[in-house]
Amino acid sequence: MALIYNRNTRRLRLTSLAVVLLLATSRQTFPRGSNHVLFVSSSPADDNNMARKQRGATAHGSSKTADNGDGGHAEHFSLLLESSDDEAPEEVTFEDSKTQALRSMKDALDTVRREKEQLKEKRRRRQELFQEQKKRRLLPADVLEEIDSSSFAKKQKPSDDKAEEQQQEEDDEEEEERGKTQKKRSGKLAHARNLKGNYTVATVKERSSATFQQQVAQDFIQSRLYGPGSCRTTNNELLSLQNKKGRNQSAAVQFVKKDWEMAKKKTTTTTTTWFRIYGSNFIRDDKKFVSS
Amino acid sequence: MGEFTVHRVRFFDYMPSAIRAMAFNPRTERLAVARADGAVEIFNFADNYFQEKVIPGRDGGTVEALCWVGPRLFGAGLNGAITEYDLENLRPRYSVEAYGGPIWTVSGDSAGTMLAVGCEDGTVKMFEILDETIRFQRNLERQKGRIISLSWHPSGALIAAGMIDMIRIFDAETGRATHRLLVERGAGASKSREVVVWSVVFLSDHTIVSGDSAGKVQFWDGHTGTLVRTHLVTKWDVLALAVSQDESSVVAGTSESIVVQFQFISSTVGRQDNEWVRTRTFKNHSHDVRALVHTETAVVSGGMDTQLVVRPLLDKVEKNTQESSLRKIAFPHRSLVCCAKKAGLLLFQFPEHLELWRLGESEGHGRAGDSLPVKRKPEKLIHLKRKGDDHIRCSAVSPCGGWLVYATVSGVRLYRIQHDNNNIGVTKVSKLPKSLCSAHQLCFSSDSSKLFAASGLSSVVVVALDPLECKHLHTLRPKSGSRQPVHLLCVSDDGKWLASANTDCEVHVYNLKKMKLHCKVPVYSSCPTAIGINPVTSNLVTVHADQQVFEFSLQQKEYTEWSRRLQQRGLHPVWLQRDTPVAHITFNPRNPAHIVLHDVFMLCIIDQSLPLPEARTPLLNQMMLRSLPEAERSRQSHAFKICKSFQHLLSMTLLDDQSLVAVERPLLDIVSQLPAPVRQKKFAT
Repeated sequence: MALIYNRNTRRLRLTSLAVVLLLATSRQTFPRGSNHVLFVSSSPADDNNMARKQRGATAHGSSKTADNGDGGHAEHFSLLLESSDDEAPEEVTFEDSKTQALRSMKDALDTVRREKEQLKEKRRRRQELFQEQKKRRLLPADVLEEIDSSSFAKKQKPSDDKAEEQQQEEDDEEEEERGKTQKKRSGKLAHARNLKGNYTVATVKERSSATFQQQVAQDFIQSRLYGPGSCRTTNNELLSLQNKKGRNQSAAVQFVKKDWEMAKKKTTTTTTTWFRIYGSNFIRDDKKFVSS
Repeated sequence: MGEFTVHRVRFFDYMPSAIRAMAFNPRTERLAVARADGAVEIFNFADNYFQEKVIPGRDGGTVEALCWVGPRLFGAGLNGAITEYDLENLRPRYSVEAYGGPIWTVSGDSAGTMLAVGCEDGTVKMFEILDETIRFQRNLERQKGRIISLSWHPSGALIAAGMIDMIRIFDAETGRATHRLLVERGAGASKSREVVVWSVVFLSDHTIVSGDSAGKVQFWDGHTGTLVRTHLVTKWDVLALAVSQDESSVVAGTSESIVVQFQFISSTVGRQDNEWVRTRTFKNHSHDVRALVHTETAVVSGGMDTQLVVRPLLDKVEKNTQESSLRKIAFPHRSLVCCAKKAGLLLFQFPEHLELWRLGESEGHGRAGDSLPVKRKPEKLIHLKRKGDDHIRCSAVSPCGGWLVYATVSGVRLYRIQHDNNNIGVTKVSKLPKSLCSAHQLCFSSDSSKLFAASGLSSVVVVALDPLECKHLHTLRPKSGSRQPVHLLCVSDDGKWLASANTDCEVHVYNLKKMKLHCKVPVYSSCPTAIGINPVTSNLVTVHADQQVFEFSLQQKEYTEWSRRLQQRGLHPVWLQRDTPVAHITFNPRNPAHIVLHDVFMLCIIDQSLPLPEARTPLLNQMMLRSLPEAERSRQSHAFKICKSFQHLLSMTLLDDQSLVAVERPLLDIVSQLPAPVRQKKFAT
């Protein structure tokens, strides 16, 4: 077994064939500046034993090793032998090399299997997470049962309920926004039930294929006029350009936030002015009488 | 004389809908306009472009094309059905499914016997127009793409259909497609994008004019199927085409908000080699122009900026007259705001819901033009969503603020409002009389005991109000038997008189104590746009679409002395040149000689005790009078006192506590919420 550390690429290479060179222990030393450092895993005494084993099994071993893709190993072998040409090649027993090869294959299989298991584990964990999230979103089972039983009773008035639901939601929205005044929805429908939270469940009108086609057609127009490639700008820019090019040049029309309109409406609403008419005293207005 | 606190209300989020399609009927001079929410409006071009009728739309009902066949109006939309509109009851009369998927275009032939619709599945379907209905006749040869636009040849034998990437010419007799005209795609990046032929027009000399999404207007020869001339008009789409009656002028509307005119003239004077030459460009819009109509004297355009623009062509009308001025109709000609005078509440009508607001309060006095501090902010009391799919047609709130009613095409709903200290309760009145099935106009009596609803055949239904069950009291019918709908209703403060005006220009007055017709005001040629009954003198004041003002005495059943004087003198020319109609008339209970009226751009108080203005003197003399000393002022002032500080006015009422409520909707707020316009690169910006 040998580990070869390449100083240039800083990589450690494990040679599967135990070509042990007694370079560490031999008189021949590596020339200076060589990029290979050889770490010999076995002690010199073991080497002798190995050599003896190898000598003993060379008869069928070497042929076997010769058959088993010796080319690659031979390469290693020849590279490593650059520094010591006159030394006889070390003999490796067939069993050793076989065990090495088998071990390495097993290791490779093991890593592959381990990776697969890791992936499976990861997938399983994600699936569980999704299930949990889905469970959280759905209503609890007893609520669903109640809905199921009441939905049969409510089949006569599906549309009303849907409208009721919308109104309920709308009202709830409104109530949240304006907390001061209370409002009640008129016409409490007999079949509507208030379940947990702000929901009213109702059967929904069936969507026919006609609405689907209508949606497709509307999408077509929308994409042709406002879709990609239509070079549209914003109303803000349009108004700003008008300001810039107008007679009285003024600043750009700037909407601070997207919902500026809504915010503005909530805060400033009316201003009361006091004005007089007794044939005069109106606020001056430069606009022409005929609409411009 | 008059000092008022004015509540300037800007929290009415009125948002008009984009114009999608238009159709003009030259014989009756009516323009039908279809909006994006499905509403159809009828404008009377002969009567100062007054918006006579509005048919409300419904959820999911879009109108893609309109078509007049004689006096009948047909529309078709993406829901796949052809609808005929009942213009007397202001509702869809019936709908016929075309079974071809969404319908993109509808067109009638010049004989008025056949109706062709272009459908999503690639078929052109022919319908036979019968007296009471339309009936499917046959399909023309089915094509592989959707049919976007259609045009009949004036002879009725050929139909040109614009599709994607091509135009097909069909033979109407056999139904086969004879020619295929291939439309070139745009250059550069748009080569990969299919070109949509948005509009085609078939002229009588077999020239086909087409406008497509690559921005070209192309002239084709219909006999051979070849391209004669191409004009690249814009970088964006050409969305609409319209041809004049005599086929000498074609206008094209684009996404770039310009309208381009082509005329069939010769390039040199005197020679006879006429060809189609691009002449004028009109830039009257800010967003896409989606609908165009070419009348004899004007080009009418409408689009995504929701304004209807009428541009008279200066070679057809005399210059510098009232006729030749540009008209922009941006706001509806009827009131969408109802005010509860005693309670200080405002009701805003939206197509899908109603909002009830309480006005804020301020304190203190100030000089003219001052802004007073607001002590209590206005608050929204009720947000009521309508039931069902139909949009709200009209609504009203009672003066005491205790009752709320709205009507759609399918029914009327009445609600009782209870005010506790800080709580508002709304309960629906479930039992309504059967005669109250649909209403064109709604009005409460001033003591909130009766509800008046204008229904079919110009009749008015009187209903007694009761929280549990409302009973039908009486149906007031006019003698003339007119079938036109009532668009104005007004009741006097003492509860004695009720006046109704219909679109046939008739004004009827009913005596509510005796519950019968009292008299009919002499018919004037123009439609009344606002009526009001003076609480003290019981005179009926009417203002018409041509800006004429009349005062009719109900006791004597004749025009009053003041009215005759006004007619003799004639109204001031500046008054007559106003282009928006007066939408509301109200009176000052403390001073019976005052008539308060408003239109979109001005508020006017007519003082009947002052002399009438001369034609030579300026009408808007308020600024001048302010600068004069007291003695001079009384000599120079005249009856019409006009204030233009509030714009654009949607409603103006006078409350019982002598304060004015002005509901304004600045155009800037509307423009900022429109869909995106195209990006135009202008020099030096």
